[in-house]
Amino acid sequence: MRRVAITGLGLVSSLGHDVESFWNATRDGETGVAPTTIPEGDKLTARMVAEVKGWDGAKALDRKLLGLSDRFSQFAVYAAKQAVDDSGDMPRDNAAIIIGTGVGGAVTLDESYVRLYRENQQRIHPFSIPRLMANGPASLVSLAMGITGPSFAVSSACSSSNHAIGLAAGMVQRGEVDAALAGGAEAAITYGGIRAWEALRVISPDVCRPFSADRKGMILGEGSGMVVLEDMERAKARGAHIYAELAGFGMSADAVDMVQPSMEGAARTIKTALNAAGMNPDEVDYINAHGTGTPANDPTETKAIRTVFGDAADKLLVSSTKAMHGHALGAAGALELIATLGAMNSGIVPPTINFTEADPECDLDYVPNKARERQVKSAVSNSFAFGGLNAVLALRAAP
Amino acid sequence: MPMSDIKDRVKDILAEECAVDRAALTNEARLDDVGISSVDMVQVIFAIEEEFGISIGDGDIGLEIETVGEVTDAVAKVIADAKAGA
Repeated sequence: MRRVAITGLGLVSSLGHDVESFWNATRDGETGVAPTTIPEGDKLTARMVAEVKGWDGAKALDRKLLGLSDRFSQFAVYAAKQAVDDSGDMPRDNAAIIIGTGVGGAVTLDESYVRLYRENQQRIHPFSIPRLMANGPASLVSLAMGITGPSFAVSSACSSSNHAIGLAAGMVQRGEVDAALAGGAEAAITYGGIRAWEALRVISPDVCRPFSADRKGMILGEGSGMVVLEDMERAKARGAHIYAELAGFGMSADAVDMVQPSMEGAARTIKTALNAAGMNPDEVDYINAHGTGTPANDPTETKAIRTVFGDAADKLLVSSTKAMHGHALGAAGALELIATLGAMNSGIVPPTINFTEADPECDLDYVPNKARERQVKSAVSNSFAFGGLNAVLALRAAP
Repeated sequence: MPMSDIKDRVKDILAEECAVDRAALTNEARLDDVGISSVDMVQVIFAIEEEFGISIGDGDIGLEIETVGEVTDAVAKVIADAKAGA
């Protein structure tokens, strides 16, 4: 089996449209959360969101492809271009593209429905279908970059990115492709979409405070993160910068509840990822938590970490960067992987911001409010989705 | 709007929607030759419908249309028919 190197990174987020801005912001504990700018946003209760600011789709696509794209695809193409440039020499003919999304082309759908149902217009844009389809990002990335290998979308709500990255790593590992572009994309901050989240009562009215006793819920985000995965030997031979080895991947289903998280499912998935990586729990320095800031997730995730790591849990740093970049749903795992790689490459672990008060049920070191210096040789990034679908990545410093 | 203005406006829309040189859009120019595909035409028809507040059916601008002049004539006819019907 081949080993898998991560050799290129790219992203679009509420904390900036490039990796360096994002790393600096997560290290400095900045927030991308602000009142929404979407049409009719002033009618919402949950008005605080982590939107991508100052976006211009023409940054990503030429005029023709731009007309065929939804906002989430534009994010993905722009992130993919950065990742490929960053990797230096990614093969185009024998590379896969796997991009997760939780929702698909929500902005297109929302705009179409406004025209039809509210404005009583008779027609909607003729490219609504190619714009909104969930494989829009994968297709447009392949078109824009001339990559001709296996390409498709995966969907598992908040775990979509990690599933995409894990599957792509498996293809590289087994020698099915020499490289892969993998990650996630989401742009689901629409009036209808936020109303639906409000109805589920998991959105915070102000800020996201993961693991803090007074946490009130999550803050929606958007964006895209993309990574280039490559055969380790190929990456070494060409002298590529290797951000880390993608050493292990675990996935499982809770089969317990559609929305309530399961401690057992989360623990099983982390264990699977560590086993796949051949990593002992006491080797792990940092966990980028799923850490949504909902009452249910954070204690459940804490218990899962304690179950897997035992006494070693007390030496671990655990942080949720969602408080800064928002919960980007299908893009969350990719943004968080890139945040984790930032920690591994800088020796500075990003904080959990907005932390005010310890919760007896959340008793790990969450790196509250201020980044911490720590050499991170091994790390884990968790995603636990609605629908009980879990995907966890295990990373090891470049050899 | 006079028919000549309508036809000029249709050419403007063709140029804008398909990102092609307006000067190349003579009546005789073939859509293929100036780089306008059938998928581009889907977008063009949508823009024309929006601009003139008309509805263009599949039979009005069909696959047999080959030149810019045929497009402008077809749009002018739909607008004239709509007026006559009104």
